[in-house]
Amino acid sequence: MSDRGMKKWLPFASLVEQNEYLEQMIYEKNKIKKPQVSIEQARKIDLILKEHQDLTLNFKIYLDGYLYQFAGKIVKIDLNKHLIFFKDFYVPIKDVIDIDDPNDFSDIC
Amino acid sequence: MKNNVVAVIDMKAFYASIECVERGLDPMKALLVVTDTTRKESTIVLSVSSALKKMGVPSRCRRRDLPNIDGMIYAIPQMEKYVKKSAEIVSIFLDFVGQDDLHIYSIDESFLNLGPYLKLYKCTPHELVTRILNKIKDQTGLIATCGIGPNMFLAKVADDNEAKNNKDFIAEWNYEDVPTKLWPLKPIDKMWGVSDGYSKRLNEMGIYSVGDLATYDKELLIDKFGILGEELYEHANGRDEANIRDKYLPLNKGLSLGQVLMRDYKKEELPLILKEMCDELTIRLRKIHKNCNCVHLGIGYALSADGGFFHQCELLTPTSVNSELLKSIMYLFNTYCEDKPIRRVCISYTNLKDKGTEQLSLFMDAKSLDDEEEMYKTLDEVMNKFGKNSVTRTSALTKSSTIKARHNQIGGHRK
Repeated sequence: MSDRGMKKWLPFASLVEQNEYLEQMIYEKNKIKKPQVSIEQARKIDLILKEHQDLTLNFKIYLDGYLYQFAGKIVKIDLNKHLIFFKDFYVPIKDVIDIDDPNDFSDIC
Repeated sequence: MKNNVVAVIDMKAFYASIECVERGLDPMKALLVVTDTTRKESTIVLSVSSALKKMGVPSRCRRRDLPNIDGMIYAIPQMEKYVKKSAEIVSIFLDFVGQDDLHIYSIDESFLNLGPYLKLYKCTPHELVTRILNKIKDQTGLIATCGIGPNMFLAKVADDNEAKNNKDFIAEWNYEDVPTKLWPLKPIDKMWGVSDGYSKRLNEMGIYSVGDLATYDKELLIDKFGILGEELYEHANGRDEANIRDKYLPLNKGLSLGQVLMRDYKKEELPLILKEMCDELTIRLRKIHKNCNCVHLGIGYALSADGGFFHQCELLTPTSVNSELLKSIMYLFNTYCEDKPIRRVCISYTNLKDKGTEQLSLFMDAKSLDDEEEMYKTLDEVMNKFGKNSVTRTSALTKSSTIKARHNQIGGHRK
């Protein structure tokens, strides 16, 4: 049987605006609460930030309800404003959930 | 697929009910119509409340066709509110099912694939749907009808034909109900997928009810209607293979924008309208990160002159710069438009190409076009942040401009 499948149930999208509001609703709905950073994790972040020395580190940050991961080199840390500067953007220290040093295997053994 | 359960949930008199709830009235009892009273008599009636429908008011008509009923309330449309409410209802569905198992069919109608969730919630489809409908009622005050079936087609037909007559507004049809409930449907256009034209052609073939269609020769139907003939036959037998999880995304083939002007426009006034529409549509073009290679212009003259035209023209290179696109539109306009009063305008962009690599042309100044595009992108950002009326052309202040009014509309009705 050659069924047209979902093609025949294609919505009659006469309102272009409906999609905008739906996207926004789904974006809001999928937001999560900021994860708690344990004392040990905070200590680890603190330690790595103190001795990072031009290493490429893996960061996990929380931004507007979503978690993001990226790797980057720290250019500068502003201790007054509590910001970590990268090459072309910055992240507030309080938004950092986790930092991993890819060359540090101490937590495995 | 055999044991699948699909539900379609449809809001009862959606716009009218929202207006009733806002006024603190019972949406089932209030006599209310949604129509723009500031417009002329021939404006469309967007929605009619359930009580009025029962009194025989047609659900789709023009304001001049409304019967004179004492105590009837006229509500001015507030499209933005309706669209937001619609998103709120979809959000309720997403509390129960995942995004993959939801298919939004229109502003007030969605399909839910309940099959995989019955074990999780440990209840029958009927109970689960009751919970969803109750939640909608508690949270928004609106009343919905629901059809449940083993596939999308049966759910939809159950919803259209039986749900509104049932006490709890839920109709559940199974394959066993096909001969007793689906087949007696008459006239044939009560079945989803049969339009007026089809209904006429089927009647000529001696098919008057769904039962006639289900027992008709399949090959003959295919001969007469092609693929759709087979589909009609399968539907009439209650079969539908569509799976909600197979999302069908149509390719973004083109963008279009049209408007019906509120009065007759002279030919000299039109360039302004075209400029505004071009701006509006190009914003959408840039939003989906495409370039356009072909523009169309359609003009409809007023009733007194009758007729119109629809022409297209190819661009030298794909672009998303307003001025380049406007040039082609103006070329079409100047070549084909006659000096007659104009009532309808429509422009569309097709042959969309991805942005990125581009063939440069010797006849164009690539640098200035790039700069211009940057400028428009910045304007887009400003409009995104502060609303579309924050930046307009100065011509928006002239009498024949429609842009400000259109920015306060959704789908051609008041925001």
